[in-house]
Amino acid sequence: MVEKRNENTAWGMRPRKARGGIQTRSQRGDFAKNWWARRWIAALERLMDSRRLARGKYYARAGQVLSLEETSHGVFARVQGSRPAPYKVSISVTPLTDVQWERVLDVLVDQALFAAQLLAGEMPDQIEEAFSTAGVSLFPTQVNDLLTTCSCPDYANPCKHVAATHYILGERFDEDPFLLFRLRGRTQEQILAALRARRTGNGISQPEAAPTIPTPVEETGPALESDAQRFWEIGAELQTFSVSIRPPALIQPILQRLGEPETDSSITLRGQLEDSYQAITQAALSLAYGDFGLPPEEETDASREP
Amino acid sequence: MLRWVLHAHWQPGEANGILFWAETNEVQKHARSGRSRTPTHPGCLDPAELRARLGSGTPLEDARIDHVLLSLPSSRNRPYPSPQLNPELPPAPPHLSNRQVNGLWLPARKAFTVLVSLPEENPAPGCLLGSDTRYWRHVSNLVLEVLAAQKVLPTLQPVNPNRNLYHARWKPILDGPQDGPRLAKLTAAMPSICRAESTARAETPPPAPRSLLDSYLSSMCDALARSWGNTRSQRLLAEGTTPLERWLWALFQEDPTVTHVSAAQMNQLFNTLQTWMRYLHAAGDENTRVALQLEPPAESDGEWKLHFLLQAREDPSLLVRAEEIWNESENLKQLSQRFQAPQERLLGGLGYAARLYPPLRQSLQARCPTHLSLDTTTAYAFLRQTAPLLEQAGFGLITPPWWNQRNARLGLRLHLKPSQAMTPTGKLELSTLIAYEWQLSLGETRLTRQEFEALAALKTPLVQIRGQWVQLDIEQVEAALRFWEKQRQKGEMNLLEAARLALDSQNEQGGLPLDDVSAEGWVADWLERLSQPERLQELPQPPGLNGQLRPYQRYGFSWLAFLRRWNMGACLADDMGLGKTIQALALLVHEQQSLGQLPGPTLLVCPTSVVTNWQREAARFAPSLRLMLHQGANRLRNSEFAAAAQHADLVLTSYPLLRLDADLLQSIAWYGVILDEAQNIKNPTAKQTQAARKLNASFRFALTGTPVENRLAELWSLMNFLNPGYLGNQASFRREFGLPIERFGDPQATERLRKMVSPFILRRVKTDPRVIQDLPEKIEVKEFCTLSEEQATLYQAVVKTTMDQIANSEGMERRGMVLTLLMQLKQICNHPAQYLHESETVPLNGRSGKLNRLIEMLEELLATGERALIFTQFAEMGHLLARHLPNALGSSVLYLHGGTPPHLRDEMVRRFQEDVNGPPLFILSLKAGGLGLNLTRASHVFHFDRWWNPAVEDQATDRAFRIGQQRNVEVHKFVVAGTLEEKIDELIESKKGLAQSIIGSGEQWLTELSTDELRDLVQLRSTP
Repeated sequence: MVEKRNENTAWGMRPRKARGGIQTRSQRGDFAKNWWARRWIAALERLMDSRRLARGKYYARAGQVLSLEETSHGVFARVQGSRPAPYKVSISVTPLTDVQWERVLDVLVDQALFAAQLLAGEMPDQIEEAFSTAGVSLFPTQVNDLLTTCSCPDYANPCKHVAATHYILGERFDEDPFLLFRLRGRTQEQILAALRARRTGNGISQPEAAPTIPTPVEETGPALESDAQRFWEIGAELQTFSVSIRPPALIQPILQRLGEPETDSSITLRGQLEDSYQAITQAALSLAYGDFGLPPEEETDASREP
Repeated sequence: MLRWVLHAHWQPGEANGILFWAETNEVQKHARSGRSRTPTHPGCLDPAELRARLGSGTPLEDARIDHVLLSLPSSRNRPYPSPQLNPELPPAPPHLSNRQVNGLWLPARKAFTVLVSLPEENPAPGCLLGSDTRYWRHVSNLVLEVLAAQKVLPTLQPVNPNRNLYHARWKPILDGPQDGPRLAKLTAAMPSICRAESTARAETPPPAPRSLLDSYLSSMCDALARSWGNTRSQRLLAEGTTPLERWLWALFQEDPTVTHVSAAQMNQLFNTLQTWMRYLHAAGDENTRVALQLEPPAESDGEWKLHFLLQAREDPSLLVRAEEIWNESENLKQLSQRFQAPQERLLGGLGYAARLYPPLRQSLQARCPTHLSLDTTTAYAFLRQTAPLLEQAGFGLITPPWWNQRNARLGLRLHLKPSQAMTPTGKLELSTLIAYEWQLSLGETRLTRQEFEALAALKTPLVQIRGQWVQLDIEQVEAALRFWEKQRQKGEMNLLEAARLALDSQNEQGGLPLDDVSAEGWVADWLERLSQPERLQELPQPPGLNGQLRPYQRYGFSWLAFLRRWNMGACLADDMGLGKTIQALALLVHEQQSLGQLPGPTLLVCPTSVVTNWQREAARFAPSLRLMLHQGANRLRNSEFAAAAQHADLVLTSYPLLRLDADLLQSIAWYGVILDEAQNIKNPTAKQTQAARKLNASFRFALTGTPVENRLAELWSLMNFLNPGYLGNQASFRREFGLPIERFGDPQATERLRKMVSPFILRRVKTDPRVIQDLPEKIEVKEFCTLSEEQATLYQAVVKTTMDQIANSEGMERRGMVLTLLMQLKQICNHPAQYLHESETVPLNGRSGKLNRLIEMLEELLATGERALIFTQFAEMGHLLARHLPNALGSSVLYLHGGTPPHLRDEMVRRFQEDVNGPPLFILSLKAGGLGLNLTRASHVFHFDRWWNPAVEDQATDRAFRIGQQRNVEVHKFVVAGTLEEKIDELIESKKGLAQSIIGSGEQWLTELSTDELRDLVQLRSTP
């Protein structure tokens, strides 16, 4: 998709139009919704001049960032500039040392809320305080916390391509609070395992014993030959099976539960899908109840009267 | 009629549709299937034929003809048929071999419509639903529930991300409190035939039941939501260009592929939607979930505790407390199959719950939190507002047992007492009014207005009264205030209304539930007896009744008398053979004696085939009743009828005449109306049902031997005759009871209905302990049948011509002619087709009184799961029965005759005795089956025609009645009234003592009768 835009670009070369680049969610105003993602962007903004930042923001919104992938301590992106070949951008963050991490984890384990919120996809409000109690900073604060490179000819670093990538990365933080920890050198599994070990009291961090979220072994079910009776018969379990076909107490219960996804669209799912959901309910009810007509007129005791 | 089984074979994945195929027990002609080397199922009906039988007006009309390979239990040369076609089970373990079945294929959505619209019974002539079809119909009901409740989520599914191929799909979300156990039931109950599709590669195992079930649920929900949800606002999205719009658009197209979105954008959209859906499973995964349990304090002002737990989905009673989870206790380890990564599960769930319920955050500031403390006000707010929200979000909620229970909330009580207007000796009528008064109650306590206002002023939503917590919801407090303001707290109502208020568990008045109904005076007595059958006062046997009532019959007659006294309609639904007739007659005799004389005639309506039987039984048991028969071409009309009826106590007529003479019968003020075989009014729109309803009588009874309570439309029709309006109108009844119970198995509706109708239906089965001890081990009943018009004509013609010839002959020739005459007359009494030796294609229905009666009786006993032997002395009649009964009854039969080879005979006996699904009816020729067989699974023996030798008949009867018989055996001897059968029967009865010596040698003695005696014997007498 090509973005419509009318921005004047008197102070720089117009980049090549990118097709199918990553779209930002916000087309104006702030990038990133959550405070921690904004903190990340602010960290960059302190390190860059405002002109390049504005260009970077424009690039990000124009979809010039073609791809973004995570590397061991950072990200790698391809950004479409004015040359035919996209520029290669990398951003990495200095990891915390093992000792620093141990101190952080000692603080985090004291309140279950930290792990609970992280697991629920939220960055705990108190996380920065927790890190500073441990004597470290979660967000990059100094120039040498943030290492950036770009293959473009711009002498300045960070350049606008780095800035564009940074903004896109900011939106990723919205989706995954653990991303920041990964950039700082610990995966979700490592953190959770370390916290669990502290909670149960043996105090030893065991990153290798990370909990693997179980994928239940797919049961194959009984062999077809196992029971002649069961081949043709419905099990007795169904005698107590019942359903209740009713409209929902609260419309669109699933969407109510989930809220709206974060997109740049003016469309809300709840608004857009409301009459579809209602139509689905109506169709289901009429199939369940509507066609249940009376039996045809019939006269019993057919024997004729002499 | 060809019987066939309709199968529905679900094909997941690429195919994504259902192959409907029909199985018969006969080898079908098959067009050779060109490519396949697998043999075709020999009983598989040609798809074109299936289309003709079932397709009309359904999507099957245009369905594609297709085939599938199924791995079926088979003998050496053919697959075993489904149990419905052949009760013989394949040997265990069965040998499976591949067969091709041909059928009609439909894609998911169209197939679904066909599947759920099929009528449960008799979708087409001869058609039965296969277990696979019935199974997928159950699952389809769940699909309808999910869709109606809008529990489907739009998703974006990567099919091949490297090639940027993504599908927009609707996904069912089944994470409600009951869903885990329900899915477990469906998984366990799946018949193997559903999984029997065999793939090209032999080593591929059959699909697991759960994954096959999931594929059906997902595919159907997707296909239906896609089609049903495609409204105008979605069609407007066609112009949309953003990835979100492209995705939404694809949700409603036949092709789910999301188009015109670049790989990077698709990836981003996918990530965004994944993030969005994260909270869907925040409360748990498919094995476990986080649960919260609210524990009230022991003291009123104590602390409420909200405990944190993990709960197993499939077994909600399996709970692990947070304490154990933090300790990683042994208990938890034992359960670790289900509770993997338990700490993270619990934490993640609580983290999400804290978003919905911020007070939780405070408790999560501990290292190992176990609970949250609440005060009474916040506990109430949690129960009222938060608990439903969390439950909706997939959390398990364990609330105190009294929460939302009727007896712990504001409710109403109804007090009933005799109306002042009625004197104690006054005649009680259905229209009798009783006085009522409404009262307000809280739990067990009745509240005065002052007490209520004092409580409401507390403004505390949860109050402990005498150690019991009760709930004072604001809406209910307001409803109670409105209630006090309304002035109609006292008044009068009629008995039927009072009965309904007392017996319906879901009564509500102005938003407050009716908790209890109390009564005083005779009203209390009446209500108690109505709802507690053991409190019924038993009456002595009426002296005028000629015959001894068995104890359960005395109870039944007393029960009829009780409901009669209050002019309430009653249905006596005892099993066949328990003597409904004598109980009804006992009531009339009792009324006659206690009132001096009956105040008016009672109308008895029964099937034409049993009018004679009623006449004989009434004359025998209740000689004091003046009978009038309203039947036949010479029946009385107009004022003559009215005048004659006024001089009768019991007027007998048939259902056809109820319809034909409706105006005449409705013009009489009957004392009572009794419908025998009341299943004849099961269809509420049929003319005879409407005619019955319009009869004018002070009491109404129904007699039937079929289990009426199981077929709800019939039950409504019956109750609407007996107690009009009691179960509401037909539409509301269907909505509240019919569909929820019959189609969706709703246990609450079932129990509610049972409570409402049980006072008006008395049904005893022969196996009831209190009945069985009263029953003799063997009951012999003569069933009097009538001749059809055709039979009567043939009978008279044969008598006329043959008697003239007999009069003019003697010696051996005469003897031969007499025996031939007797045989011909017996054949005519059996069935005209037997006498005329008609070809097999001539229909048998409605031409013989005996056959009609037999079919009616067999229908009744098959409905209650009983088995019967049917004896005839004529092999030809046996063949006719063996041909006709399966079609007339939809049930398989066995037939044993002189020509049956011994090994088949043993196999038949084995199947009848041992097979769970074996044929319930066994036809035997008297000679072949009279001796040596042990057929004790039968509890009924029919003698379709008579041997005139009690000893031979008894021997035959003893096949069923012998050692090993657990049940009482009922012996039905068919006698056609007015014919030689009845005459000879009378002769034998009168000479019983001499029987052995005189008639022991069969029918020879009849040939010694004089011509006049013979003529008297065979002459057709009119029956009144």
